[in-house]
Amino acid sequence: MIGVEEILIRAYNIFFGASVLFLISVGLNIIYGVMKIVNLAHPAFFTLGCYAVAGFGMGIIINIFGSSSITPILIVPPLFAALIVVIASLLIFPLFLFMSGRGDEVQLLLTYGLLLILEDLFRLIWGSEPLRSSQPYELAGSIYIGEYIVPVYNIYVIVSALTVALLLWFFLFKTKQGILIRAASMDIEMTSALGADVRRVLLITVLFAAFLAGLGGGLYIPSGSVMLGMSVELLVLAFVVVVIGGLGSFLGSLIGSFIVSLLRTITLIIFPELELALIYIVAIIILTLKPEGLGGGRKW
Amino acid sequence: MVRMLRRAFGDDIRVTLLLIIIIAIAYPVVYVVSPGWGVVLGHGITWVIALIGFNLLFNYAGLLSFGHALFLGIGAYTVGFMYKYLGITNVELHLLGSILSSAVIAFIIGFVVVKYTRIFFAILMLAIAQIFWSLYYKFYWITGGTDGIKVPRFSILGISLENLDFTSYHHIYFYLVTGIALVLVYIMWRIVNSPFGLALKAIRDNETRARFIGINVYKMRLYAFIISAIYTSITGALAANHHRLVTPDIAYWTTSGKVVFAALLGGAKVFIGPVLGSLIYHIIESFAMRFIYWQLIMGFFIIIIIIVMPGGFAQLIKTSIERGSRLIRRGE
Amino acid sequence: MTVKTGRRDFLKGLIGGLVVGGAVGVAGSEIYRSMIAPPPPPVKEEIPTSPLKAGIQAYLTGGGALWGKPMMQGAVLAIEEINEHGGILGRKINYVVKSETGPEETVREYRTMVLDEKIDFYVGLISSSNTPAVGPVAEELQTLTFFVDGCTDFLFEKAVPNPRFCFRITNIQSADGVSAAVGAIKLLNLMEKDKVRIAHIHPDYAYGRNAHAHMQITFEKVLGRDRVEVVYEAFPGLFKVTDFTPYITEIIASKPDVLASSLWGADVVNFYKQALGYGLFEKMKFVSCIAHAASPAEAVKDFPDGHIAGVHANYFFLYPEWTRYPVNKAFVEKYYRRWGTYPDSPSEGAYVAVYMYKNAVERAYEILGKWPEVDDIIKTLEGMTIYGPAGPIHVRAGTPNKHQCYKDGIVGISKYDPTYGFSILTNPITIPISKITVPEGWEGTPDPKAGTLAYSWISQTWREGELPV
Repeated sequence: MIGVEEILIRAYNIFFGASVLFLISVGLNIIYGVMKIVNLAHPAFFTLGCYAVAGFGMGIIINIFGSSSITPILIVPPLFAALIVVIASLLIFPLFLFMSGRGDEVQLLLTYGLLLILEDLFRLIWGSEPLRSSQPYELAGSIYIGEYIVPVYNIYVIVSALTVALLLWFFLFKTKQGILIRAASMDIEMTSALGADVRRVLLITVLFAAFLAGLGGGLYIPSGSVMLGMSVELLVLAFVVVVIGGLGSFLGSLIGSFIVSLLRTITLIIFPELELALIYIVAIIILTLKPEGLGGGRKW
Repeated sequence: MVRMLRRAFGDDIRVTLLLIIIIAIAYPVVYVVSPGWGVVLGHGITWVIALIGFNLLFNYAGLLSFGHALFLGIGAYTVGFMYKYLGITNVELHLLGSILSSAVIAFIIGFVVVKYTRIFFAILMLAIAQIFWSLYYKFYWITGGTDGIKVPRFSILGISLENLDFTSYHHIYFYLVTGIALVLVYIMWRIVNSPFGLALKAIRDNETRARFIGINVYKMRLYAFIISAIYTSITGALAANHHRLVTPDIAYWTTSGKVVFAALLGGAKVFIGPVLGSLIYHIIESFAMRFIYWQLIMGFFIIIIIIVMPGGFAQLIKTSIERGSRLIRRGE
Repeated sequence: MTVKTGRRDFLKGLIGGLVVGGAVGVAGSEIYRSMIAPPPPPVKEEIPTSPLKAGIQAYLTGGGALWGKPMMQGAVLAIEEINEHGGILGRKINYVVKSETGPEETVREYRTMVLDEKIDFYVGLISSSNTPAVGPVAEELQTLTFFVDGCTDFLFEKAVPNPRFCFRITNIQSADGVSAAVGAIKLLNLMEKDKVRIAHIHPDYAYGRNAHAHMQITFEKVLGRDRVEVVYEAFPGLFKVTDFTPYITEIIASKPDVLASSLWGADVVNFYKQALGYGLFEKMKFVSCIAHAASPAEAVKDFPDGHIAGVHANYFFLYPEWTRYPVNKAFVEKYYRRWGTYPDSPSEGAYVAVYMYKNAVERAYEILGKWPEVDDIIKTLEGMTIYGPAGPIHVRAGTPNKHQCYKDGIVGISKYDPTYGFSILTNPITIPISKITVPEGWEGTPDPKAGTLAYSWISQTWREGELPV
């Protein structure tokens, strides 16, 4: 079973999985990287993005653009989702202000509380049934890779994630704002002594992370569904990604997402029984041998 | 009396034990009025032990664990296996078994995990707890999977309780657990005030300095970890006998969250905190369950507590006592 | 002298004779009738007038809500109908609804319903993790309990082997996998193939494992072990996986003829929608033992045509056909009018549970002349058969699987129907339940790995290469 097509198909899936994981975990890493806050509620932002589209966004978008115009239907939902999540994060921002500079337990516990609240808010607003929003997925159709059929939509997700990664890299390493943010992360006191408004930096960071999470949710939802309890499941996955890749490291998100997705696919081929456990075991091994993660202990 | 309360409310063993005894006296009355609430009190006392154990690690050793459900699971499944494969229903053996199994497993895990602190420790515990949970789930022909292992009523001192009516049975369970809780709480207080306990606090306050004094930080933390594990697994074993069914849910990470929340609720900074926390938590949970949006309430409370009263209810009570005694003194 | 019988005397005599004869005749026949007629019913003791209380427990949130909500709706519909017609022997039914979640909390809620709300009977539960947890508690607290689903064989085979107060409406879990496999073999003509390549995907918990084991052994027995080849098996966590694409590619790569699956709720929806994008349904036949069982309007809106549709060996609202079986027609119409959706397996199960209780109480009352005690109701339920919307359903009185209910199951082929706007089950095959479940009186032990009596029964008694129905 090791033809070129077989490898291509597996690779296609690995990259798709990695793209989704990346979009979830990169925001987590940014918030930690800059504010040294572990935001347990971050996956709930991703889920909020999913709900925003599946709950009402897609309906509105289709009303405006009609149900068969591909381009708007592909592009608008993720942006819409990102917008909603950014607004939500603005409302929550005071909490982040309170958290910054306080001990780890405070952050962990506050964000855990936030996670619980968001999960129940989802139930309050959107009810208890899983929601779907598959129009973009269906519109995009499928193509043939040899004798295999694959959905085109997943390619779109992969390309979007890569674009985000590239833009992010460019921003962080090549623009003034980005450099400032990275500096802030390494030493907040010094940065503020140099005249930068730390609170503004914090705000931008939170909004940014929220934007990425929402975008991820909006991109992901057409290919699956959103349901209660998802944030919690994603949280565990996101942490594994972050542990393997390194906490607070942008490069780490990329590496971690890729490895987790790779591991998952390999396990499913060879020993499907062990799927979840294997991922956790690898996380522990890496944490034991190389606690900074495979990102190499880089700051970014 | 008031002065004693004021000065040492949080850390006075007599107050803590008194609290438990008061609950024990109130219990039969509560049960008559509403058996459902009587059962809730039963839960409350059962979990006191786990929370005291958790707080040893959290407050005295400075290690926050998001995976303590791991040990609840070990206690519960020890009971399950003891019944399933050895037919044992004696509660004394159940407890002995959980103590042994949790000590061994905690030693093996702690060996690796205790080297890390803060976030990494929290995450590692979460990850390991999840591994165990997924194993309970997967190896369904041993653990019963989600069907679980059904456990009959325990026998105490060799006497079977199968033929009792539910009320008498629950009374026996309640007082058994209360007795065990009193003993274990007292033991924990001795531990916390021993040289070992002081060493832990020193490590928590300033690890580097503690090392300088010659404290073996690693070993102290490991011991605390093991003791914490044993306490928590005893609760797991008792809870297994209370519910009569052992399922993987007890080891899921949301249960770990409950442990953390209840400890905070009561006030993790003082000795009596976890005891208060267990009782208050189960009472609130019972109310809120009827509410359906339980997670919303719990999350909201967590945030309020952390921001407004990080010392939890213990702090609240202490402040009220102080204010009250000031009023009294002014009146004199 | 001549005695002349005058006409008048004759007439007098005749009339007199007729009158007397008539009177004697009437009186005599009355006496005769009263000699052979049954005695008049005993003087009926007064029935209490206080309302009854029913406890309903269902999944209201999460992946199981697709089942829990209809379940609750079926029970409530039955209760409202009964109340409209005066209640049970004049007693109205009040009810309380609680959430079903994980075993620990579900048991706690159950206890509260019994101890604090003081319910008279209970209808609830979908999950097979919860029925073995609640069962022993129901026995302990001595409350009449009708489990709508939670069909695990484990319940009456290990957890509560001699139930007094627990009953279960839905067909036993092993029947689910077996009927799907039998249906697939018949509908897909698998007996004619030389070799059948099978792949499996089931949720990783008791139900999924059970369905897997029973589908597999049915395929092996009926087709013959040398004809069956398992090419891939996977067990994703229940409601834990939202991205099935890695599984989908592996399944397609292993080139099976048939994909056997017990994925349900949100999982099967995610799975088939994602699988559509990969053309999975053109490459193999999908055999789902349960996809069409609950909330078809949401769960199988655009399910692909031509695949094997199972309903958890229970009920699909179109069958028995409405023209032939008015009980079903009435139920579907009333349910649709009340809730705006079509009833499904859990709705029918809960509805039948409530009516079973009513029937048992009324029958017992007829015999005893007073409101029956719990044990009288139980004795009446045992061995009873009533006609529910799905057809006749029988409550087993003997062992094994005492208090388990039995009704014939159906399996069919999926087809999108524009009148309804979702995929329906067509070409139904009825699977006689007696042919695929362990009969009363069979003595044997549960299979150690699969854990059920049914598995042992099939391995030991079915002949290889033969369809049992």
